[in-house]
Parts: sequence; C-alpha cells; structure tokens
Amino acid sequence: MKYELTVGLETHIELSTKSKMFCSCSTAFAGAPNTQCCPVCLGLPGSLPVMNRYAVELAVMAGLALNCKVANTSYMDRKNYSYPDLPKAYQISQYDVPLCIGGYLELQSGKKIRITRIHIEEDAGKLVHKEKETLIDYNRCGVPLIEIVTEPDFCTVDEVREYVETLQHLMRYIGVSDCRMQEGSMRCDVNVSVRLKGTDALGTRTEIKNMNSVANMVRAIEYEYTRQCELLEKEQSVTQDTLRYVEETGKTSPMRSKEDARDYRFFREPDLLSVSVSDEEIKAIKDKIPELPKDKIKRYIQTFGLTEADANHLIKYRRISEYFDEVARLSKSPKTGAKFIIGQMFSLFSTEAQKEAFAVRVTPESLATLVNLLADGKINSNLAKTTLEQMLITGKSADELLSAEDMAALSEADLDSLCKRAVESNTGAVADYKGGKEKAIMALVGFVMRESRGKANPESAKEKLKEIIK
Amino acid sequence: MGRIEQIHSLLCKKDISCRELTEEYLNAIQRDNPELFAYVTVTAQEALTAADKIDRQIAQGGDIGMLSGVPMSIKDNISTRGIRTTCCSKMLADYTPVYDASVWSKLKNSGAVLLGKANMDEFAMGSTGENSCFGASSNPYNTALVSGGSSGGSAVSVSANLAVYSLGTDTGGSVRQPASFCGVVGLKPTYGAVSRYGLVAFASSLDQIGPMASTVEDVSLVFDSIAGGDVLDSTCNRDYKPDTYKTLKDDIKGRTVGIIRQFADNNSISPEVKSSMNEAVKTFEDLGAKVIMVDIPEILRSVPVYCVISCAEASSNLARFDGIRYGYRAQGDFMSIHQLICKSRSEGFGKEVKRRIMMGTNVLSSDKCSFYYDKARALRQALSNEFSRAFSQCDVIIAPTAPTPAFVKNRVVADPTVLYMEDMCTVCTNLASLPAVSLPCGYSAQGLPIGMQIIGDKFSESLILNMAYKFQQATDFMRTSDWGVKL
Amino acid sequence: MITREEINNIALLSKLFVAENEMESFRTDMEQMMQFAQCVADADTANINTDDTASSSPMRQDKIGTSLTVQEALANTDASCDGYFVVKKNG
Repeated sequence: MKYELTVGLETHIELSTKSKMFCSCSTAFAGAPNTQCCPVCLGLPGSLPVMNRYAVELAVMAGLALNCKVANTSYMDRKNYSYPDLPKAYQISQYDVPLCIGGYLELQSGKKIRITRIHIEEDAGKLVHKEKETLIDYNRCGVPLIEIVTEPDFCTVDEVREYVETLQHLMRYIGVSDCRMQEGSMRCDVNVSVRLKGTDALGTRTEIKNMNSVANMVRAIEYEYTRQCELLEKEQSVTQDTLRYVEETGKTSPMRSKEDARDYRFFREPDLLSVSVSDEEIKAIKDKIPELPKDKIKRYIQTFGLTEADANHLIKYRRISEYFDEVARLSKSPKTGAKFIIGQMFSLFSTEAQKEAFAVRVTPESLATLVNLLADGKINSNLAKTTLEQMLITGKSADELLSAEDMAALSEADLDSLCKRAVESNTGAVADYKGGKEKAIMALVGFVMRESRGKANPESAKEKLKEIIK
Repeated sequence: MGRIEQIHSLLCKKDISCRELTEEYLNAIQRDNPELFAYVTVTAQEALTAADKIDRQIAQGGDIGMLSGVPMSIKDNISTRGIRTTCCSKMLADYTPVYDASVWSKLKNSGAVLLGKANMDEFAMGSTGENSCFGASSNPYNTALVSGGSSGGSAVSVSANLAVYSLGTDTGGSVRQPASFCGVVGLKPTYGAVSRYGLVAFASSLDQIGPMASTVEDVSLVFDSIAGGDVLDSTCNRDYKPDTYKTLKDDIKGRTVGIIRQFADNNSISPEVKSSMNEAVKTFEDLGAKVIMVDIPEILRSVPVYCVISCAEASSNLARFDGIRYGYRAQGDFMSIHQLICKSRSEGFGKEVKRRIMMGTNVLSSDKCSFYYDKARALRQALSNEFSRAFSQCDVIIAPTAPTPAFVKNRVVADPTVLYMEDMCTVCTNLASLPAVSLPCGYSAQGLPIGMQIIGDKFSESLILNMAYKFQQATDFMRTSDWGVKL
Repeated sequence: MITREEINNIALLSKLFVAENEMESFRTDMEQMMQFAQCVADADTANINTDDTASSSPMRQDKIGTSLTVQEALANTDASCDGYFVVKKNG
C-alpha cells in the first residue's frame, strides 16, 4: 500500500431530552409535519432562545464518559449560513470555548482515538426532496445535539467501524441518546485524506457529510481513498471539498456550489449568557453515570469468571446488565445466573427492541433464589431449567412452584441405595460397561434419575455407579 | 398631574366612558394621521372591544389599574398577535404574528387600549422617520421637519395627542432622539430591564423597548408595568422589579450630576443645544445638586463602534427573512433557491437596511472579524468601564439627546455616515447598557423642542426618573400640542 | 478601497442581489462606512477583556410545553402543502 489512509470523524448525536434545546416543543420522532414548532424553533421574528438544563447535563455526561475535561464556563456562538432547513439562517452552536475538550475513546486494540472537543448545538429541520419542489418540516429543528470531534487518528475502516459502534453503544448505555442512525439521531461527517506512506504531513482532506449508516461510511471511505489515491498517482491534487455519498452509485460527489460558499462569521450569541457548570454539578453528573460497559466486562470476567462472550451478551443493553448485577449480588453463583439469563431468558425475545426492554416476569430476587436452590444442591439442573420455564410463563416464584418433596435433598444414603438397585436391575448395561462401552453407564444413570423422580444429581450418580461397579 | 393619572381619575369617576375616550382618540387619528403619519395600522375594532371591557369592569364596581382603559400605541416592530406587524418594511408588509410580545401581553392584561401600530424607520434603522416603506412621519411642531427615528411614529403619536403613551424601541437612540425632536419624554431602560421577547431584533445586545409619554410620571408608570423578568428572554434580569413611581418626588438635594467633557467641547453640537444644557445645569444646581465634569474619552469612537456592532448583529438577525416561512417572496422563475432568496430580500428590503446588512456581513467575515467586530466589542467594554468610573464620582450624568433640534426632511447626504453621527449623543448608553431618559430642556429660536438625557448607572431607573421629574417640575418645558385630543 | 468583486462576495454571503445600476452606489457607501469604522480597526485593544463570566444563562426544566398548531406555523405563507412548507425547485 503506497498511500496511508487518515480519517477524522465529527459525530452529531441527538440528546434524549423531552423538549428542544431552546424551547419547550417536543423532540418526539416522526410527528406530523410542523406540529412540534413554536416561535423560537421556527425562528419567527422576535423570538428568543432559553437553554434546556437537562441537555447540558447529558452533554456533560457524554463528555465525562469520554474522558474529557468539562469547562466550568463555555459560550454559545452563532454559526451563520443560509439553508432552507435553518429558519434563523444561523445555528446556535459553540465555537471557540466549547463545553468539553481533550478526551478519548479506547478501541479493543488499546489504541486511543483522541477526542478534540464536544460542543452543544441545535439541530436543523428536515427537507423532503420531491421532483419539482422541496418540502420542509421543522419538527426536528431545535432538537439538542452534541458534536463529538476526533483528531484524525483513524487509519483503517475497521477502526472507524469499531469507534462508531462503541460510541453508539456507550451513549445508549448511559442514556445520553438512543443513537439510531436510521432515524438520524446519530450522524457522522467523515474527513478523509491520504498521504504517501512514511510522510508526516497529512494530505488535503475532503469531508463526506451526514452519513447515517456504518456500512455506507465504510464504502464511502473506501471509495474516497481510491479516488484520492488515483488523483495523486496522476499527479493531480485533491481539492478540499464537501461531499455527499450517493448510495445508489457508491460514489461521492461535491455537495456545495459557489452559491453555497460558506463563511460562518462566528460571533458570541447575544441572546444567551455563558453556559456555566460548577464542579459540584459536574461531580453530581459523574455520580449519575452508571458503571461503563468496558468496566463491567472486566468485572464479570475477573470477579464472576464469566467468559468474554457471555460478558458481552450481558452488557449489550443496560437493563440486562443491571438485572444481572442484582442477581449476582443476591446469589451464590453469578455464573449460573448468567447461564439462565443468556440461555433461557434471551430466547423469549424476537426483536432487539424487546431484548433491550427486557420485560420479564421473573424479578432478579426470584432468579437469585432459584440459582441458590441449585447451588445448594436442593434441586438439580434439569429441575431448575423446567422450573425457570414455568416461572417465566406464570410469574410465580420457585418456592411456589416446587413442592417440599421436590426440594428435599436426596440423602447420600438414598442415593447409595438407588445406585445399588440400578446395578442390580440393569445387569445387561453393567456388563456392557464392564466390557468397554463407556456410554452404557448412562442407562444406569437414567434409572437412578427416573427412580428419584429427577432429584438425583446425575453427575454424583454417575460417580457412585462407577464406584459400585468397580 | 400625568395624563395617565388624569384619565384614570376621569374613568373611575365616570366623567367619561372608556369607549367615549377611545372614540375621541380614534376620531383624532382619522383627522390628523393623514398629515402626521404617526400610525401605519389603526386597530379601531380591537381598541373599542378593549374599551367596552373596561367600561363593563367599571360598571360592575371593580377596581381598574392605573393603565386600564388608557389609549396607547405600539411601534410596529413589537409583535401583536393577530395584528399585522410590519417593521415598516415591504419584507413584512403582510406579516401577522401568531404570538404576542411579552410586554404587549403584560399591558393587554392590564387593560391597555391599543389604538394602532406606530410608524418607524424600516427595521429600526434610521434616525429621521423617513426610512419607512409606507412614508415618512412628520414632526407635529412643523410638518416639514422630520419626527426623528427610528420610533418616529411613537413620538409623534404622543406629541400630537393621538396616544397617551407609546412603546418604542431604542438601539442607538431610537426612543430618545425622536422624543427630543417632538418634545416628549422617552426612556431607554437598562439593557435587560424589559423583556425583548417579541421585539423583532435589530441588534440583540443593544435593543430595548422603552416607554414614551408627555410627562415623566406617565413614563414612570408604564415602565414599572413593563419591566421585570421574563422566562422567555435569557438576557432579561430576573431579579429587577422596579417601583420608580414611588420615589419620583424624592428630594434631589445633595445629588451629584456629571457633564461629559467630550460633549461640552464638541463642535457638532449646536449652540442652541449647548445653551439649553447650560440652563439645565443651573436648574439642577438650583435644585440642590452639585454639578461636575466627567471624562468619557471612548465616546469619541462610540458611533463607529456602534456601527460595527449593530450592523454585525443586524446582518445576522435579518438573515432569516427569506420569504420561505413568512414575509415577502419574489415572483417569477428562478434557477435556484439561492436566487429566489436573493431576489426576495433585495426587493423586500430598503436601501439603508441593505447597506447595514452588507456592512455587518463584511465586518464579521473571516478575514475582517478580528479587526472590526472583535475590536468593537473590546472598545465597547472600555466605554463601559469609563462610565463605571464616572459613576463613582457622580449619581447621574446629563447630556444632550441630539446635536440639533429637528431638521428638514429629504436632506441629501452623499455619505450615509453623516446621518449616523446624529446618534452621537445616544449610542454610548446602549453600548454601555445604561438607562437614559430624554425630556425637553428648551426650545430653539424656531420654537423646536430640545431634549436632554439623564443617564444613570445600570438599573437606576428610579433615580434618573426622580431627577427627571424634579427637573420637569422646576421648569416649564412641557407643551400641549394643538393636534389630537384635548382632555 | 472596496472593489466590485468584494461587493459581489459580500452580497452573495448576505443573500442580496446588487444590480448593475446600484453597484457604484453600494460600493461607495460601503467604502465610506468602512472608512468610518477604520478607527475601530486601528485601535489597540490587546488589554481589554470582553467575556462576561459574571452572569450565566438561566436554564429551563426539560418539560414539554404548548407548540403552535400547524395552521399557526403556516399562517404567514401561501406556499404550503399537507403541513409542509414548500419551496419550488428551479422555478
């Protein structure tokens, strides 16, 4: 590879507030057009912005989760440009003193993608392009956004993919945003440049805007990489363009004409004062951040002995991991609890949305009780499995479903006598086993299980039987 | 006695019904407005409906507030729901707001009777009243002369007894200067004292809504009613709830009054204005105040600083007018949305507005911003600091409102900045966010009113109105016009 | 000295159209206005601090309030359809 790829990302994420950044219109998705608007978000003459405290809180939370430094005082600025989806012809954003600076997101490889800054701003409306006209819906206008800007630290599309997926998961996990790329609550602008292998200076970059799927991002980067390399091979130069990716053709194309030439003429927003977050407020927000997924995975593996695969299953959605944490806290065998959750409970759900909601009729306490019964040997794994099935359907507790007899432990003496009887009653199987057929012992185990009505522990029975047969 | 109190008394005593009173004003407007052009929209129906409501309240024996039933006007850049609000621009000639400005909401709830929307310079850009797309307002003292601007219609409506009080707006002197030209009282409040929600923005860090009336008492009453916090305006002070009326009549003996050397020595200020100011100094001394000289050197740069800042903010505030959601949209075929927008704006805006937008765009552009806009902000801070220092030496500062009395209409100027210097006495208080009240302090040889400003430190409206009231009572400069309603 | 090209660039950014017969008038006006503001550009402002840290923006609770009806939102334009604002393409 003669040329190295360099990518930087600017990710826009819609914050999970109920109301907009500067007014109290609803942020709900997919409302009828222009039904969630007011003088402020429509930019009617005379309207003025008033900031949403919770939006700032979520922005701080995002910054802390990404290891940024949060500014006690930051400022809002006007970014002036004209476009039909921007009613005031300026966006209220942050320019030279943003809310957060200097963080990072760590990839699996240990590489840290540096985050230059995170700032708060408002979203624009939506344009629907028809053949002869453009339709405009301002419902989305004014929804709170954070923009997360990385250094040009990405070298491969895999790194880009991992970053986006990790960021998405993290933001959803801590409740900052639902990050649904298909709905537009997470969009990426991708900056791509190439340079000769071994050179320090970065090449001229192009910006591919408003990417709303990871798959398209990857394709767009690969296309752009090839295009730029070809230009350089022909000894032509790359022009600093703003591009969009056209899914149908798989190509990028320039987005802006001369008429759209942009000079943002940033200046302090005179309708707002400073954005102030005290150290106490930052600490209070930090305390609200749940244990992060990467830390949970470590803990599950190291403390509970879970496999990495199982740990990843459990942290996929916050509700599930919190459910598991509770089960782990209350039971003697978190590993067993994990097995129940992943093995049996997950199969209840047919969609990811259902899984994320994790609406189950078994409380963590209830599951912990079942786990403990198994751990204490009061029931065996088969019975535990069937009991859990019943619990999930009926919502009843293990105590309600299991009779006293079920739970009465099979005594050693009883197991002894059962095994002896098995050997006496199954001479054919005994002979086969002695003759070398290892599997023949299972017939004897089966006898013990039937006679004990499933209460015997199959492993213990097998061991005893082997002893007796010897 | 102020007009408002007078009317309140008449209404309560049932000497006149509110409807009768309102009809008198409406008739006077019908008679005099064609010549004076104070109003661009007359809201007769709304006014009479409001008046009838007040009459019912009085009939039922209810108490009505001081401002109830008092006929008034509002400058046409303040949003009035259901009543067209044009900013006297072709761009908004057919625009009808779907919401009320906070100040109008307050006054409406106090029972104000809105007679109509007052003429103004387009988008509040102008100092003569001649930049209105509907036609210039005229000075009641001499209709060949300008009313002043940009709240020309407001000043005229009050001066010509076609409204008891008016709400104007002041960004660089637009309440005070026409008040001065028309011989009435006009207050520019401290920035943040009155909500700007619903005021079509010109320069967001400078704009304030201010009351105009024929007496200090009236201005005081209206100010107390409209001032105070508003959850819809982040720049509006939430703790300030003034009661200037209560202390209007306080003794001012022992107060220190400052005069600005940079105006006293200034050759652009006419001899008649200077002479009135000298008389004013004597009046304050007679009232027991001490008068000293203060230095505010940054005043000499204040108009260029104002020009840069106000044009910059205006270029941004007016960028929203593209004809897509409201406002003028050009007819015909266009190659692109960009062209449609350019044509709409170029046809919808007048020349002064276009000049200022372009100036603003220029001073904010990336290669110029740090030289012009950033520096202007810094100089503004420096001016503010100088005023702060001056207020450590004196309680209030007095200054002329305008360099001359009203002048002839259609004055031809090759250089637009010459007109900007008309604001030389007033822009400094907008830049420093200070309150200032203008009131008559003399008359020219032609009988034209001359105005004086009393400027105070931030949120000292009680003090400056107190000083103004005492001055008003000690002098005889309030004249009753032959126009309009005679009570 | 402000050139015609500069006026055209400024007009482009300002979304204004300067006709040929207006060009000279706007150009000289702008020149005079920029000349007027020259004393600002020449000033030494290095030691003046402008950012106001004393007061911070009031914040509102994250509660949904009343929005305009779609009729109100569209009240001041003729160009609307099915609740959307409409802009025609290419005339």
